[in-house]
Amino acid sequence: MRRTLVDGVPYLPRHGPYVPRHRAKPGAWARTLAWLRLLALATAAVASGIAAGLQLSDEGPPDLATASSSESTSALTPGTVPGRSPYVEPSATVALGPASPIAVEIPSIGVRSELSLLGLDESGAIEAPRDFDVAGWFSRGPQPGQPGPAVIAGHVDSRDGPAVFYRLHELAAGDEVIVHRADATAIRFTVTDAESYPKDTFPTESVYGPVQGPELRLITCGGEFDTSRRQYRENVVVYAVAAPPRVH
Amino acid sequence: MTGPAKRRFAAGRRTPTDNPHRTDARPGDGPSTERNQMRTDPIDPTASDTQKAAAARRRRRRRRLAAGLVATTLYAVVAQAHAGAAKTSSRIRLAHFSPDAPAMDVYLVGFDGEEVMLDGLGFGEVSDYTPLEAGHYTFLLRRAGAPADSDPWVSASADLMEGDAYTFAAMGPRSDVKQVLVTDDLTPPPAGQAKVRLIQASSSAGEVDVSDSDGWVLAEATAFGSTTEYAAIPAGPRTVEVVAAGGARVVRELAFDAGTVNSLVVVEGSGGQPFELTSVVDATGVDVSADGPLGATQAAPVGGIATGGGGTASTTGGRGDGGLGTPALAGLALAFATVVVAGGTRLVRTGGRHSPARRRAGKHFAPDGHRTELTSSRRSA
Repeated sequence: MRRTLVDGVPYLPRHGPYVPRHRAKPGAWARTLAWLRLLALATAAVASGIAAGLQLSDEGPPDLATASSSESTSALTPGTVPGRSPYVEPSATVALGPASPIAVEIPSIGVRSELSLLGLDESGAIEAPRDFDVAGWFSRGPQPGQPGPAVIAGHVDSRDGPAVFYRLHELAAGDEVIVHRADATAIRFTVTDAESYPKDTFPTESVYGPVQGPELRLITCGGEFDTSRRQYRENVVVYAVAAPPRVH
Repeated sequence: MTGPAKRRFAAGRRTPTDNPHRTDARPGDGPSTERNQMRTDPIDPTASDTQKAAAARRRRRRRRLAAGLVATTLYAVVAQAHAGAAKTSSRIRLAHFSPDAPAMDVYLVGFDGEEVMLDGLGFGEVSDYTPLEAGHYTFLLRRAGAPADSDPWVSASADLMEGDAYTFAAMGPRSDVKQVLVTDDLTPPPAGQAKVRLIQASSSAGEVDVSDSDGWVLAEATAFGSTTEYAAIPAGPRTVEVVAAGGARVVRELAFDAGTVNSLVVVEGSGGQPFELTSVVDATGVDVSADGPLGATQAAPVGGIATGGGGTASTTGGRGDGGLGTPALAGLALAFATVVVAGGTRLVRTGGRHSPARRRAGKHFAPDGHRTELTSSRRSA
């Protein structure tokens, strides 16, 4: 069997290279995006209709009185909130809104995937995506584009071969990640760092801790495969920021 | 020669010292038994040249092995130290709290000389954090649009440390501006809570007390230019009240999301207001305590994510970066190899008096110095 070296580690390829499902025909990705957008907006409309029907309070839409963000500065506007505003947990209302993410694209490693929604499993960890070919967005965290670290996770491989984030470890500072949203907009993130951590010493604060602007965390598995527990020992985390670091 | 010299030696006496006619034999000669090994290893003036050479070779081999192990360990320690955390540069943001000063351009003087950092920072505005490498920087504030070589309104220097976040604020009257550099603590608050602190940037308010309707005290007698420590308060809507030393009172309804770090700012008011209270979100993190399976105690998701089926794991166990990382492993191997093997050390003894080959051939010397007859069932360990 031909032995090759991938990143210096002997790699025995048992299958062909990973072919992303959306690379097959020209225009197929654009059609997929359009369909996903339609689906997301329809789901959001149904969900908000149900929520409006169930709403008991007669107050207006939630108004979070934190500083509004402009392009580069946060303007302090004295006295913006007269009276009492209803406070609602942000993630509960915007998970299915028009700005929710529907797909992720990483051109430098050929990744194009729709996004499923991920929650927490019973142990309190982010659950793994159900489909090996589809990445997932952690919907209890910030949306990509909102301040805070948005988390997108994908499998590195299945039991049979490569999966959607198989080449995630190749990302380096400067690479671009594009997140498509239900309202036909896209946010571009720039990779700043890529690290691999043992799962036993996962740096929760670095990955999920507070950050000022919209940021992204792409997570998959790596390192040694523990055959007794049937899981990889490490997580590969790629950090990306929405606005590239700038000093004019 | 006399008779004894021609006598055939009986079995078990074939040692040089047994031959009374050998003149070059020394007390240390003989088979390298354990007893003799101890005598020849330290520098022994009675040892023969071959014994000394062998001992010297053993010492060199041990030194090379030890050096190789030290090098490997050092490399492993250094590589592991770098393998852990994500690199975070220092971050700094600028704030303009001077009511009678116009909008400002911010210049940064650093490693690459002077360059424009921000355009048009107006009163009451706080910029986003700019990441900078740790080091010594000078910040210049000039009137927006003023030429780059004009005298700055404010000039301040700071040493920025790796991983820290800072706010540089200019506050007070334009003619008597106060420059304040505060360190921001962007570590996450406890589950379900928000961190809040006060920046007192109003010279006319004097000492202020800030509290909320539930009784949380956020600031007590905080003077102009001071900053309080962060307080963790329950997230959600809060009615915050600011009372100045002179008795003036301002009440505002604010809301703080769980997992956020916020700064309240008391600035000069306008239109008759003595002062004004606003809030800025410094940082936002993940907080799932409202609806997590672990309830109100869980701020962030636990650990990592199980995203792999093992289908591409190689037979040697890993893929890509395993443990220290493949480049580090290669470096380890190189460090060890360079010091030990390239130094001429044989890791496996292939010859010599007590090599496995000689033992297999039956030439084995028992500890008592006598040659024993070996049968196939007796093999040296």
